[in-house]
Order: sequence, then C-alpha cells, then structure tokens
Amino acid sequence: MGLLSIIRKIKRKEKEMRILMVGLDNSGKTTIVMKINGEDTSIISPTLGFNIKTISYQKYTLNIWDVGGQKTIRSYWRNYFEQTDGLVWVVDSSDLRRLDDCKYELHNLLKEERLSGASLLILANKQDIEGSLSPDEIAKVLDLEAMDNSRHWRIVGCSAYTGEGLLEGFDWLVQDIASRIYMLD
Amino acid sequence: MASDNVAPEEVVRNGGEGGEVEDDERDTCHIVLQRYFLREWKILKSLLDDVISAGGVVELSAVHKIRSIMDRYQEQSQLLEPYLEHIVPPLMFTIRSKAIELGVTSDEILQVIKPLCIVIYSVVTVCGYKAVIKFFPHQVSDLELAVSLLEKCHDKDSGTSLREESTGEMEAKCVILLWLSILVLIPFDLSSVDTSMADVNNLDKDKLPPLVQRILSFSTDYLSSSGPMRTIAGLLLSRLLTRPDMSNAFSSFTDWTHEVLSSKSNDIVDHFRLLGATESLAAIFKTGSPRLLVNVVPTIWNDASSLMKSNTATRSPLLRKYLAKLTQRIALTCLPSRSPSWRYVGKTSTLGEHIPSNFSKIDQGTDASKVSLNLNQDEYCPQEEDMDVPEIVEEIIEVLLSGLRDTDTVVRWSAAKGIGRITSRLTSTLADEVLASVLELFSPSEGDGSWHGGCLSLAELARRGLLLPFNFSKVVPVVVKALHYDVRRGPHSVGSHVRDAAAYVCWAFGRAYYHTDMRSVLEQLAPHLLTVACYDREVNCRRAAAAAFQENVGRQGNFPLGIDIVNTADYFALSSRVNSYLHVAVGIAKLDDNYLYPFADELLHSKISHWDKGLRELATNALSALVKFNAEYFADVVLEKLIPLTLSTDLCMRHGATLALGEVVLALHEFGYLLPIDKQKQVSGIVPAIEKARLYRGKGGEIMRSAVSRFIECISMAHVNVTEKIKRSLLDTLNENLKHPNSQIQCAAVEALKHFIHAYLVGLGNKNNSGILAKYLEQLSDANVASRRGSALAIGILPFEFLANQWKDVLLKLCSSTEIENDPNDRDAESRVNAVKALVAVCHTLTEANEHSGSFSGEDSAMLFEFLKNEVMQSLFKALDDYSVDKRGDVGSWVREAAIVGLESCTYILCRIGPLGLPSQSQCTPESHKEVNNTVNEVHPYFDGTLAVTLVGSLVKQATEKMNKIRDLAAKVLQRILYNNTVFVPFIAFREILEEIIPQGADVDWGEPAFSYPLFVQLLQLSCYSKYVMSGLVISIGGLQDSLRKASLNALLDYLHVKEAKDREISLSEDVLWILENYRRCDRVMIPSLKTVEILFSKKIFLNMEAQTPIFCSRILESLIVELKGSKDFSKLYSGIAILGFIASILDPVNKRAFTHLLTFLTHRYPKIRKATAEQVYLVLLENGSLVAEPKSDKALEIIAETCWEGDLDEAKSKKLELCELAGVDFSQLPKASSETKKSSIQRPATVDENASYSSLVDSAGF
Ligand SMILES: Nc1nc2c(ncn2[C@@H]2O[C@H](COP(=O)(O)OP(=O)(O)OP(=O)(O)O)[C@@H](O)[C@H]2O)c(=O)[nH]1
Ligand SMILES: [Mg+2]
Repeated sequence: MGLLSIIRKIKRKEKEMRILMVGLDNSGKTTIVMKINGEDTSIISPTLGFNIKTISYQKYTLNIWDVGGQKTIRSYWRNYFEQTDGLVWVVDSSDLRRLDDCKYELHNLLKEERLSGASLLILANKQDIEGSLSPDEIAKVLDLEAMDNSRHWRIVGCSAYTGEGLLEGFDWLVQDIASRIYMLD
Repeated sequence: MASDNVAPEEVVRNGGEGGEVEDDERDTCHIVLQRYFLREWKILKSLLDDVISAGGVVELSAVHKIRSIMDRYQEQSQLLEPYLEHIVPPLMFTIRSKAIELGVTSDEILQVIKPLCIVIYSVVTVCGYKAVIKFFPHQVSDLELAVSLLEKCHDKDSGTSLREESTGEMEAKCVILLWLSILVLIPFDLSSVDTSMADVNNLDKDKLPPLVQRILSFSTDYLSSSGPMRTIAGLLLSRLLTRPDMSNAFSSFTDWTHEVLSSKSNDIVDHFRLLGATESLAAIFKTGSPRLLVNVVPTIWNDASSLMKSNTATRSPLLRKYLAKLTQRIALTCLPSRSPSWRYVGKTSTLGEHIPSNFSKIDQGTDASKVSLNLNQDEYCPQEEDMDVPEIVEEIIEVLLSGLRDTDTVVRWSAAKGIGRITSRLTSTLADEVLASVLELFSPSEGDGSWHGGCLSLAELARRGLLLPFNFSKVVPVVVKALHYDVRRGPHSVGSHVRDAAAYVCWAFGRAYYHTDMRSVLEQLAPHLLTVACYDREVNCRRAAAAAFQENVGRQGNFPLGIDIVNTADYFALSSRVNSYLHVAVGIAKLDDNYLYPFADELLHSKISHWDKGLRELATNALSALVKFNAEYFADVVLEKLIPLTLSTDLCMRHGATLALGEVVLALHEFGYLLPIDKQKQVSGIVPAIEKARLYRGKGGEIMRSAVSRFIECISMAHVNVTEKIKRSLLDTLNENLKHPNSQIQCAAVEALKHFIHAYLVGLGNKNNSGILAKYLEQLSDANVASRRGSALAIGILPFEFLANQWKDVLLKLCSSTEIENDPNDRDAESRVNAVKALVAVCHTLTEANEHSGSFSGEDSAMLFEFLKNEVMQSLFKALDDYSVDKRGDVGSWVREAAIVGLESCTYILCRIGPLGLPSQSQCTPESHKEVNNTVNEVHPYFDGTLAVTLVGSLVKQATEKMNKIRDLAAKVLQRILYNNTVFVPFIAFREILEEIIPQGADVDWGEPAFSYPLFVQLLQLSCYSKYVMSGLVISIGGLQDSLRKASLNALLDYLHVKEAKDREISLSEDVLWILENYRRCDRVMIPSLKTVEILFSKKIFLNMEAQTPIFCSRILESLIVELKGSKDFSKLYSGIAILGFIASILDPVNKRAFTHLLTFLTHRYPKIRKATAEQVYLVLLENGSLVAEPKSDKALEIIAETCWEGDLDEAKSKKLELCELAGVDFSQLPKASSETKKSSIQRPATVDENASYSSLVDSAGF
C-alpha cells in the first residue's frame, strides 16, 4: 500500500479538510482566523507568508491555511500530502477602490485547474464599517454568477470584529465539502 | 472490500524523468473527471432508469457501460457517494420485487438479478461496502427472502471463477451476502422471524432456528471461497454470531475455527478456508463485546500465535495481515478502553465557541467533549497509573513489533496501526517500552522493511499523541537517518519508500505537536528535509519532504526564511529533477547559507557517486552551481575531498568525482577565484594518475573516458597550469578517445580538444601545429572507421593557425572524404557526415579569421574563395546525392542533412565576399541587384547565376523527396537563404516567384505533405527548377508511403487542372523523360519514376497531348526496353507492363511497338509476370480493336483467357507464338525481354552507381 493511499484513508477517517484563506491584503483573513480561533484580534500585522491553524468544527478537523495577500500563493495550492478542499475568498467590503483588483485576482485564481474541485466561500468582510457594500452588491461587482456552473460557491456577509456571519459561512463551507468528500452519516 | 482492504497499490518508483511528469498528469486527469462527473451522472441516470422501469436489465451492454463509468471513479469515490441513494435503493427494490413476483425457486429469477447485482457490486468495489449497504432495504420479511435467494445461487454454483465473473454469479452472491449482513442485525429474536418455526411450537429452546442454520451453513462454505465472498461471509458471520441470541452458535463456530486454525494442511482449498476463518475471527473481534469474547481469547490466541510461526504464514502476506488484525484486536479486548491521561494533546480550538452565540444558528452541543479534552493539555509529564497488563498483551505487542518488519507493506501498516491502538491503552511507562522497541527497528542490520515499518509506527504514535516531546531527543536522530535511507542493491538501490515515510513522520509531527514543542525539532530537521526536497532522486520524496517542511513552517509562524524557502521549493518547482538540482537548491542556498554545507555534503557523499549515471552528472553540475556561494570552501575543503576520490575503486565514485572536480575547478575560475599553484598542480596530475591506474579498462572504461575528456575540457577552460609533459599526455589521451568507436566518447573528446588546443597549443609555433594537423589528415583515410570519424571531427575544430599553411591540402582531403568510398567494405556514412561538417567548419575558420585579421594575402584569399566556389560547393552538391542505405536504413540522409546545412553556410561565405576578398562593404539591397545584373559580378566575384540555380534547385529537390525531416530542413534553409538579413544571396532566378511560394517568417512544419507539396509543385512552371522538382516528386509519388503518395499526387494533379494545363503537361512530360534518361538503370529513382508514369497514365495525363503524346510514348518505350531488360524487381516489372498496356491502347502507330513488347513478357521467367502480362494484353485487346483485326480478336481473347500462364513455360511459349501470328507480329523481331538469355545487343548504359546497394543491383541486372 502506497503511503499516499494510507494518508488519504486517514484523512477520510479523521474527517480532515484543508481550507485556504485567500484574498487581497488587508481584507481581514488573519483577523477572521484569529477570531474563530479565539485569539486576540486587536494586534494583527500583515501576513508575509502563511500560517496554518487547526480548528475543530463539529466532527471535522479544519486545517486552515491563512495565506498573506501580498505574496504569490501558488506554492500553497497543493502539496504532496494534501489537496485543497475549500477556498475562502475574503473581501474588504469597505474598500471600494480595490474591488476591481479583487475581481480580477479572484477570477484569475479560479482559473487554476488544481483548485477546480474546491468549494468556494466568499466572505464579504467588514460589514461593521459604515458604507460597506452588502454581500449582494459585492456578488454583482465580482460577477460571481459568471463562474463555471460546476463550482460550488456561496457569498456571506461578515465582520471579523463582531464575529457576525462567520459561523454561517464556515458552516456552509464545511457542509458543502463534507457532502462531496465524506458521506453524511 | 474496497474501503477496508485496498489492494496493495505499489507506488511505481521508476523515477525516470518521464515518470516524474506522470504525477502531474494524473492530477490533471482527476480534475477533469471531477469536472465531468455531472455529465456522466446524466448518462448513468438514464441507463439506470431504463433498467428500473423495465424491471431488469434488457441489454447487457448497459451493464458494461455503467461498469466502465464506475471504474473511472475507483480513486475518486467521494464523487460518487452523494449519488448512491439514487443508485442503490431502486436496484435493490427491483431485486426484491422480482424475487417476490417470480418466486425464489424459479430459475428465471437468477437471470434477472445477476445483471442487477453486477451493477451494484461495481458500486461496492468503488465506494466500499460500508457506504453502499446503508442503502439496502432492511425489512424483517426480507431476511427469509434473501436467505432463499442466496441458497438458489449457491445451489446453482457452477463453472470456473472466470465464468462466474462474467455471468454475474459471483456478484449476485456478494450482493446478497452483503444484504444479509445488515438484515441479521434486526432487533428481534431470530426465531420469531423464522416462518418455518411457526407451526412447531418452539420445541427445543437450545436448537438454532433453521433459518440461522441455513445462513451458517452457506456462510461457512463461503469462508473457503477464493473470491470476495470469503470476506463478506466473514462480515456476515461476525454480525450474526455476536448477537446476544447466538451464543450457542458462537461457541460452535469458534470450535470450528479452532479446528481450522490448528490443522496443519497444505491443501490450497484449506488455505482459503484458513484465510476465511482468520478473517472472520478478526471481524468478530471487531464487532463483539469483550464479555462475549474474553472466554475464547486463550484458545484463539494460542492458535493464532502458532499459526503465525508456521510456514503457511511465511508464504502468505494476506494471512499475516489478517493475523495482525486479529491479534491486535485480541489485545484490545483484554485492555480496558480509555484514553490515558498522559496523552499529548495539541492545542486545537473549536470553531464557534469564540463567536457570540446570538450570531450562530448552529447547535454546538457536540463539541463539548473536545473542549474538555483541551483542559488536559498541561499534563505532558507521564503519570503512573496502576495497571495490570495481561501477559497475552505483551506477547501480542511482540508479535506486532515483528509485524513492523514484515516484507509486505500491508502487514507493516496493519501492525503499525495495532501498535498505536494498543499503546493508547497503556501506561506511559509501558508506552515508553513500546517506543524503545520501535526505535530498535532503525538499525543498520535491519532491512528496508523494518525502517519503513518503524516510520509508519512513529507517525501513528505521534498522531495519537502517544509519543511525548521528551522523547524527541531519541526519535529525531532516527528520523533524520531514515530521511537519507538509501541502500545499494546490485545495480540499483532501495529506500525511497523509507525516505517517503520519514518525510511523512516529519509532516505528522508538524500536525501533532504544538508549535513551541516543535521549534527545536524543526531546526534539526530543516536542513535534512530541504536536502531531500532538492536532491532526492524520486519526485515523490522531494515533494514529501517539501510538504513536511511547509507544514512545519506554517505552524511555526516565524521560521527564519521559511516562507521564501517554501515559495522556492514548491510542489510544482520540484516536479523536475533538473530544476530541483539546478534551480531550487541554488535558490535556497542563496537565501540562507546555512544550507550550503549540508547541500554540498549530500552531493559529495551520496549523489556524485550515485548508481544512476545521469544523476551523477546532474549532481556534479549541481555542485558547481553552489561554488559561487563560498568559493574558498570549495577550493579548500571540497577539492581536498574530491581529488583522492578520482582514483576510487568504485566506478560510480571515481566517475562522479572526476566530473565533479572538473566542474568545480571551472566554476571557481568563472567566479574569478584563482586556484593556488599547488592545487593546480594536483588537479593537472589527475588524468595521468587515472591512466596510470589503468582505470579505462573493464566495464567502466567508456564511462571514464567521457568523464576524463570533460575534465580536460574544464581545466582547459579554467586555464589550469600544466607542464609540457602533461600537455603531451593530455593530448594523447584526447587523441586516443577521438578514435573510440563510441560516438559519445568521440564527441566529448572533440569538445575537449577544442578548448585544450585553444588554451595550451595555440601560439606554440608551426612545427608543433603542422604535426598535429598532419596526423589528423593522415587518419582521414585510415582503415579504421572510428579513426576516420574522429579525425574529421578534430579537423573541424582546429583553429586558423593550424590550418592556414596547408588550407588547400586540408580542403582537398576533406572534399574527397565526403565522397562515397570506392571500396564497399570501407563505406561509412558517419565518416562522410563528419567530413561534410568538418569541411564546412574549416571553410568558416579560414574565412572568418581571414576577415578579421587578414592573415591571407590577397592572392591566397582569392584562391581560397575560388576553391570554395568550384570545389567545396561541388562536393556539397555531390553529397546531396548520397542515397546510401544499409541495415539501419537511409543512412545517406544523414550526409544529405549535413550537406544541406553546409550549403547554406558556404553560400553565405561566398556571398559575403567583395572583389578584394574582403567582406563586401555595400550591404546590397535586393534592388541594387536587380538593376545592374552585369555589374554585380564585380561585387560578387565568387557567386553566379549557375551556382544559384543549382543551389535552389538542389534544395527544392530535397524539399520534395520522401523524408519529412529532410523536406522540412531543405525548405527552411531555402527560406533562410531567400530572406537572410545580413547576407543577400544574389542571382536567384525567379526570386519573386520563389518568395511568393515560400513566404517569410512563418514558422511552419514543411515536413507536413499536405501543406508543402501544393506550394512546391508551382515551381514546375519555372524551367530552370522544374527538373529538380520533378526528380523529387517522382520519389514521393511513386514511393511506398501511402499518405505521402496521396498528398504529393494530389498536389500535382491540382497543378495540372488549370487553364494552362496543356502547356504544363507538355513541359512536365519533358521533365519526366529527362529523369528517365538521366537516371537510367538506377532503380532507386527508376522504380518510383515508372510508378509515377503509370499513375499519371491512369489519370489520363500525357495521353492527350496531341503531337507530343506519340513522341513521349515512344521515348518512354525506349527507356522501358532498357529498364525492364533482365530486371528482377517485381514492382518495376509491374509498372512497366502497365505502362506498355497504356501505350498499346492509344491510337497511334507506336501502339504496335508497345504491344509487341508487351507480348514478350508472356514468356517471362517469372510466372506472376506472365500472368500479369496476360491480363494486360487482354485489356489492351478489348480497348484497342486495331491491334488484332475483328475475326481474329475473339480467338486471341480466348487464348489469353484459357491459357494457364503461370503454369508451364513451354506452353506459354507456344501460346505466345499463336498470339503473335494472330496479331501479325513477326516474333523473330521481338526483342528478347526475359532474362533467359544473356546475349544482349544493347549497350551497357551509363548507370548511376550510387553506392553499395546499387552495385548488387547492377550485378543482377544481367549484363
Ligand atoms: N472594521 C473592521 N476591520 C477589520 C475587520 N477585519 C479585519 N479588519 C482590519 O483590517 C486590517 C487587515 O486585517 P488582516 O487580518 O491583517 O488582513 P489580511 O487579509 O490578513 O491581510 P494580509 O495578511 O496582508 O493579506 C486590520 O487592521 C484589521 O483590524 C472587520 O471585520 N471590520
Ligand atoms: Mg493576514
């Protein structure tokens, strides 16, 4: 038995998922991860590379890769032991100037064949800030309907400060991945 | 079962570069499947709907289709799983309702359910039984139905296992057994379900219900099966027998297994029964409660442990695997189940618990347990608990530890899991003992299997939190060793699976331990992980190590340069070995020179002496790529290590060390580091030392010769000081290698020679130089072909100073070396190829040096260019006619290829030169040439119109012949000549038309016939090129390659189907005649030419040219008389006969001559030819009534039709006479066509004796 099939079996048994947090810099990825991990979110500096956190959720173990928005991220898409099961694309809903950038980068990322099986959660973050766009508006601007229809996706508004929306979003993501990868038993 | 018992999936580790790409491709393939599953689901769904609405499978092809779709998801079962509820229940319900409808005893029912079961079973093999049986119906009433159904199948048992598979018997049994395995779980007393007991009033309480007896009976039968029924039957039994109402059946079953396990039979059927019994016991120990099992533990352990030591177990990995499972479960039965307090718990938090719950709509009750566990995280320190470990458990741990050493991966893996599970129920002291035993597996005396098993169990212990951080100091050094595990076995080595697994351990550690606990470990592991990531031979190991590094860095947060290294060594960058060695490793060393020394050490100690020659060579380049990061270190330490290794007794080592030494010296030089004199001396003495040690001998001699040449090349380029004596010795070495029959060695030597001469011999004076040159010139005509090949190569690289004095001599000798050797035994295509290349190279050297330094006097220079124009170019044109073949095929094509390239270069040389032998200053524009055609001679004294036509014509000919590669090259060269930016080639006739046909730029594949022929046939319009084009075309049209023939013929026919067709046809006919006359008796050209004529005649070409047709035909006839005479070539004869037939059919007096000639073939010595001729004569007579007048013609046709021409020759002769009489042919005037007689009045034609293969042909031609 090859090592990889062993690891695949363990992964299924332990119900592990690999989730990549991506998005432009300053969109709030790290803050979100800190928040759900129960860490202090008051002092956060830009992520230069990536950070892995393991967080459990229901009966699943999420390995969350928080990838800095400033660096090229190709190297995190996959490694020898694991593929990416879920993508979380974080948008700073209050940064209207960069939404075009954001749209371009997102669609670019989704072109990558190796990520095509992954479920996609879009978090319209910073909803607590006045004047930020609503999830529906963000969806329009990012032209999400234009995505390949085999892609499982959903957009949720959230705030990493208050925690609003995070559970809803991750709950959808985990259930969606689970329905593809693990039998719902 | 697919999910529980995955067939051993040996990872192919051939590791060649080809194999490396595969991995990526497979990934992509999976993605594509993922994308397209939706579409496949539609197909699947409609197939299933058809089956279900018809109440069974109507067309068996539907089953095959479904199965082939399923098979594609073997490794992607998760994609299918969401659809199972739409697949499985309808099929099972169909089975059930059909069984009720038709009755389980009818024979028909089997025919209905078998195909259905094939479908269901294919889902089982993909998704695993556990996923599938959830969707099986389980009403109480189904139990009896299923039992009866299975009995029906069981009774019908027939045929071989092979037949079973194709008919669905095996699948039906498996599916019903699986169905039963959930039906027996019904929560009622089974006796209450058994309808056969309804009337009998529960007479005997101890007796088993008949229904149960029936299940037991066939299930135990199936335990001896060789097929998958065995495993499923074990599963069924384990569920049935562990029911509370089955204790009697349970004990009789264990009595039976005891009997089976303790019997010492070697029978093959008994072997399957043994497997079945063990497997079923393992299943029972998985399901049963300890209370039920504890009583049978002693017996079963006893049997299992002695079975384990038996020969049967030694021979059967499968049995060993089942035993590993059984024994570990026995141990678990004997231990209290609880999670030890000493367990390591990483810090994981739970999503949701930190978010104010008014936002969360999800119930988090289920997460409470995890939170409470986290409270224990501070209790790393072992806490002794009181615990009595039964002796049996200790014995079983021993057994599992030796299972880790098993030769089979499956057994090792099973044992590793067992070790983990059992340890999780032990006290920390005992767990330490287990760990100590695991660590013992990592000893040099153990095999690779032990190391692998050891890694698996370390990872397993860490994953379960059973390996506490205070053990790191013992564990980490062992893991490091495993990361580098590589043991030579004969010509190869083993260990990649160990390294792969060791990387997995590092990865698993990263996940299992809190990052502060891992920090110091990672510091120790990092250099090793990166070494493996960059330099492992196998892509899976490189990627595994990189992934482990990445995982750890990601959890550390602030590992020095971790992020940059991860970005450098990513999954994709590591896919190619070359890239890993030369770019990734260099990139990492550049980031952080802490890795430089481990990298250099790895290359020095493991890679430059690797068994894989390609890898050694790559490693030497990788080593030299590191030099720039610390030149001093390489000059001191590395050189010091390498020098003695060049004389190692191990071939791989001395080969690698020699190459590495050369590369490092060169890299130091390039970096600007001056090697101390004493080091230079040492380095310069290496080659003589190798020779003195006679290390060229034996198997590795050739390998060492190439390496030594490269070494000399390197030290030459690095200008290492060498003494006169050593110089001579090095030159001798190179000359020796130049004469080696292995062309790679020759090439390496000539490369080295180039740099050696440049560094050490130029400027030493003429005497020396001319001596060297004279020797090579002499060797050009050596009897030894290798010597000839090598000397030509060498002359090609000699510098101007060596050639200038004797340039004419050199060129003359080379020119004559390009010609096909007179003596057939001497012929050697490679020598000629090398001579052509050398000739061109020498022209370059002479003219280029002259341009720059003007070392020739004006007179000399003029002579040189005259010579180029008149002699060299002619030699190259002649080389284009090299069509030699030998047993390797068209070896002449190599010569032609070289000549095409050479013609291009020499043309530029000639066109570049102005009247004074200096480069022409006026960068002539095309316009200036067109205007003043008569004055340009002054500008281009060494190029003229004749040369230009010959040049273009020859290229065009090559561009229309049969080899794709040559056509492509010739067309590209022609294109370059037309559009060259730096040198304008003048005097090209019809340049505009040529430029139209061959457009600029366009990077197209001229080898593609459908593209190139339509363009080149246009040149047939230009009288100066038409003969060249046609000479090429006949080869393609009349050749044997079908696709080529079609493309070229169509192009020609299209060319002829235009308004000006008549003119084109006439000029074409002249070109054809020119070819026939020019290539007389040269079958290479003649056979396809005649075939071409035949084909064109059949398309009515040349037959309607009015006055030209009879002229053409009669000249064809003349040529045929010559060609067919004495020919033994069937295709030539067939074409000839067909052509004679065509001519005989036209309405012109020439027909009579053709007919007369045709008749002579009726008595050809080959029966097949006689027959073909007769058929042709028959057709001619039908076509052309004028040859034999009306009343006689019927008689003539009759004779032809009724004579057996392939039969007796005498009969044929007499019949021919009759025909001749009827036709009024005076047979005494008939030319003797058959080769019966050798007397011939025809003069020997000037044959084009091209080469050996034609000389035999001439011999056989009968002159
Ligand atoms: N008001 C508000 N500010 C937020 C929210 N989430 C994040 N921020 C702020 O946005 C800034 C950027 O947050 P980060 O988490 O560092 O962003 P990031 O996506 O990880 O950025 P990079 O690591 O550079 O890619 C920080 O100053 C956060 O405090 C939010 O929901 N509301
Ligand atoms: Mg960040």
